[in-house]
Amino acid sequence: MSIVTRKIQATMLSLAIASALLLSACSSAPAAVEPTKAPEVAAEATAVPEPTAAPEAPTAEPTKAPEATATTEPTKAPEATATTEPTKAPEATATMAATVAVATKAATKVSAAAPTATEAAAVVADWAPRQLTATLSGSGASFPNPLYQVWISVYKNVVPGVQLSYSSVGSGQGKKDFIAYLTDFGGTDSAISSGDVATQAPDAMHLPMVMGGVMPMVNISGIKTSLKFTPETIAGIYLGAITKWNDPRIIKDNEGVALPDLTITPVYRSDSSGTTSIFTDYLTKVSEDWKSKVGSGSAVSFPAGIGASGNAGVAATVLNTNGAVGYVEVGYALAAGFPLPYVKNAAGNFVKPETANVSAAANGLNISSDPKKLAMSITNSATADAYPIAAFTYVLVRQTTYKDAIKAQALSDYLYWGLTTGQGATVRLGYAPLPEPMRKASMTALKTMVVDGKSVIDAPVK
Amino acid sequence: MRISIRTADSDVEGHMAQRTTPPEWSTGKSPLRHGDVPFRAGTIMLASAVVLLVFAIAWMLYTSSQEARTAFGWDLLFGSAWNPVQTELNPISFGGWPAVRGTLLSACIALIIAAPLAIGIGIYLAELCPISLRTPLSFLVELLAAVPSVIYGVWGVFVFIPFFNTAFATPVSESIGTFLPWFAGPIATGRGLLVTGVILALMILPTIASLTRDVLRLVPNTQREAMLAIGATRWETIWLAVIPYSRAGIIGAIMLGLGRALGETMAATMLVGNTQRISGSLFAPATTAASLVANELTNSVSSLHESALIAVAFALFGITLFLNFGARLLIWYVERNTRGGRS
Amino acid sequence: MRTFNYRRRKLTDQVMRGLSALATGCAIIPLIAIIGYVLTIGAGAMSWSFFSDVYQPPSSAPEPTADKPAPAYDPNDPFADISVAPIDAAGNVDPTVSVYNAAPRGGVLHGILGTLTIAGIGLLFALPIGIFAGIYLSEFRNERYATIVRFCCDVLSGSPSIVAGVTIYVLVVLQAKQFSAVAGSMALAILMIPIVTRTTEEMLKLVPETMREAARGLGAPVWYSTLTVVLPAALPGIVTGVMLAFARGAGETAPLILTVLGSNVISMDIFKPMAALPLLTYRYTESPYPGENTQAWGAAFVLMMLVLLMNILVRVATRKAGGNSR
Repeated sequence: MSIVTRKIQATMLSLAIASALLLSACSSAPAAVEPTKAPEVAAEATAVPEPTAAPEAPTAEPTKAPEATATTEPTKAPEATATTEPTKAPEATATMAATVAVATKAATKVSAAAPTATEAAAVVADWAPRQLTATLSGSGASFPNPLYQVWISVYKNVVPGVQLSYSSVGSGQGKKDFIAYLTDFGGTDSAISSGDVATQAPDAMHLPMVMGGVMPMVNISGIKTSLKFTPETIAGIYLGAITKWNDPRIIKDNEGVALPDLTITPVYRSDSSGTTSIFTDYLTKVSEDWKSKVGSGSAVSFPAGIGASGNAGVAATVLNTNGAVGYVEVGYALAAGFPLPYVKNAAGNFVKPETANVSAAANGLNISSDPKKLAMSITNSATADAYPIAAFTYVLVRQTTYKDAIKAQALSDYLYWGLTTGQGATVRLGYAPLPEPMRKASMTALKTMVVDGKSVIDAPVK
Repeated sequence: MRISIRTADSDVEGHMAQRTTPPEWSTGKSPLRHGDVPFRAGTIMLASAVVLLVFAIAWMLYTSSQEARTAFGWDLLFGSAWNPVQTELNPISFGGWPAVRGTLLSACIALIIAAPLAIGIGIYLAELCPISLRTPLSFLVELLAAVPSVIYGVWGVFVFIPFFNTAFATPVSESIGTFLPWFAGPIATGRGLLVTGVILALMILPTIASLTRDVLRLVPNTQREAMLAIGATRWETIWLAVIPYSRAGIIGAIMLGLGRALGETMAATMLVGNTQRISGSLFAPATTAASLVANELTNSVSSLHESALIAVAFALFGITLFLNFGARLLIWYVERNTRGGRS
Repeated sequence: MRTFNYRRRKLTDQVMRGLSALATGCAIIPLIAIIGYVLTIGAGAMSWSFFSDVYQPPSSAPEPTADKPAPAYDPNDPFADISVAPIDAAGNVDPTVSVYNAAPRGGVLHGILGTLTIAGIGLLFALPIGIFAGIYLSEFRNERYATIVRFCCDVLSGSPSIVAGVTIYVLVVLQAKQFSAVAGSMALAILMIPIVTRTTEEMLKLVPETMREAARGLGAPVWYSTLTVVLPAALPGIVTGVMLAFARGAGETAPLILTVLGSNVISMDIFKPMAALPLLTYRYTESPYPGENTQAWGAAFVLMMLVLLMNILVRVATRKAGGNSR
């Protein structure tokens, strides 16, 4: 009898183990399946840029762009070519402009404003970063993280001795680590509060590095077109007032799109974040309801939705959730092959977060001459073709309190490089280059950095 | 030749057999003879480092959480609003109830699933398993107890959640969920307390199972033999003689498992959804105390925020300390009362 | 009546024995599935560059190979191979190849080195305390203070790993004003100490009392007999404990989030932030890029292999130790 039971037990167990092994053997299948899913999604992206943009956003491109060009181009571009080596420079500018143009085409349309800035930025031939040896660590915003990682990986070729590392942990921690002297530099999309600046970081400088747009990234299976959002629908979704994709308020702006009866899952940042700060700053400006119920800040308590950590976490959550919407930096959605949405701006136009439109948000900025006061909000810009949820992202550096001169020199070289050559990478990754005046202001501020009273960088502001 | 030996508790004096050349250290003149006092002092000192560490942790958690504790008191654990940033409508407040609730619920789910299974495994491994299977199975269970929690998280995110969503969460929320709010939909990301609980169950299973097995093995064979001798079946022997004998130990094992489930950080952070809002449904995203601390401590926005998070960690430490104390007491009780079990 | 009762008892016996076997089977399926998934999918992420390269930002550019190396750095177009969607020679965008379905780039060498360094230094912190506390608990086991030490050891081993992280974050990171590998090592040491202590204690207890008595009978002082007779006899067992502690430390993630911050390059300065494998696993799991998700599996695979290897070594070692002392 006991032999029988033992046999039963043995068979049960071996069955269990066999099935487990089978299961694990099958597991290689999902791995193989995953990549095949991708082309489909990527193909969706193709539909986005060209055809739909033209009829639906007529107001966006033509009106403002030339003006932007006018302000920057004539003064800057010739000067850049003039100072550089005669044979090489024009060629360089030409190739740069070409690649930028192509890259912008990848993202969407080209406006004159974007290439002008990069063109000028790309070439500063009478300056080269010093070959120093230093280790620099920074932490902060995930918003510019893809760009910073690219900069770092390319900068390794320029100055091999400088070891840079940037951890994408969110603006909140970036600011906190920087204030607490845990890192050499910080990354943030929202300024350190004036109270903290006064008490804890009196010499902190916010150097604008690049511009970017925050967009609602939408995952509804079967819908590959760009959706249109108004401030009211975005606020409604995140307030929990609009809970279905086929809500009449959303349908009203998206006629012709077969929106399903699907629950909306808003995704927000669970960490203290500059992206949240930009997004809520915008919503506070456009929605009274939002202003009174939630407010703005880097870690507000959202009335609806689920949290995810970092821009990457939000993008990943949206990617894996049917019916989800999350606010992310444009590059994260582009990289995942998601369509760019339209958002209604202050002028009443539906605008996509394309490079030109993001750049347009910085038009007519009144830049302070105080190097410590470069941080400013540009959400809900009044410019006709401006994308409304746009922002500068900043690197935090210390004006006077670096102890190690070599370190400060290496850091300032890197940042200067980012403000010049580095701007060429922006468009390719879904960001917008800094507008010329702001870029110069940032460089001027960078040049005020001193160690023991001695300036650490001597480079032309151009 | 007369020598005296110092041992820990008494001086032992004895005679050594005649040797032509006694070892140097036994002559009574070698400096080696005086090593015992410093040796004991040294071991005590390093052992005290362990004690000191515990007190340092407790002291640090206590003092660093002072600011928040004086400001909010018990609201830190039972208040329901967690607003680190001042806004017009929401004043700053740190109410950890969503996290505490999430921790308790997910640990309870884990325990409900894991405890019976783990005890079954323990019984099987200690009493029923064919000898040839015992060693590999025990090894497997111990191996699984050593798998890092982040791996459970990876598996949970990529494999288990999609499977769980289609196979369980969606049908359940559409049927039972329509009248029972605990299982109400919608299933959005699939991250939530139930998924976390299930994965935590998998994590604590090996822990409880191997401890149960150890405790059962401590039961003296005489207990089994006596039972079998009066004609009991194997199961009766286990149920009536072995388990009652080691009941305290099994409860101790479960408490240790509970402790692990309560304090687990990574798997919970990756699976729970990290949402500071209380939802009636177990499918809805939530948060746990450990993942709250892991997510927010490094990017806390004010010293009060930091202090509140440390207070949450303090509570976690207190609970696990209490559980451990209880569990060890029970296991120690079993060990003291069962000498001569089978190995 | 009697037969019925007997049959019922017999049936209960078989049903319950079957159920306990079933419980074992049921529980072991998902557990084996975890190992299976990690080993199969993770093995798919293995490549030479996975072990030899560090983090590379996601790009649609193809992974450089031996016959098609990465383009040399061109100062005029430094970002040639970086784009969210690739651009061909004619200047056209190929939208079917985006970062989203690009192959994983780079590797986790920085994480592997970081983990070995952090866990290794953690072990250096934990070893003296753990071993001597273990000796104290075993050789002076009847002292009242030993009970307190033992209890504290249990408290440490039972306390959540995040608590160790919080402790070091507040006491070391915030004081030293620096995220650093050493801080991570200290946090891991807190988790390793109880493991080393308890194994040392258990292994020393397994050494037969007769060996101690023999040594003392020859006139050896306690410290001499402990260090030269008892400890060597228990050494294989203690080594296993140390290896298990190393494996446990290497797999911990939560304390590292609060202490080492992470890094994307190889940094061997232990007073600076450093990368670690479990951190990479966590970050890559939360990433939207499938290439990084694959690397998360790969990193999990490496961690799993470490645990497997340590456990198998331990198995072999204890078998030897068992032969000596049991």
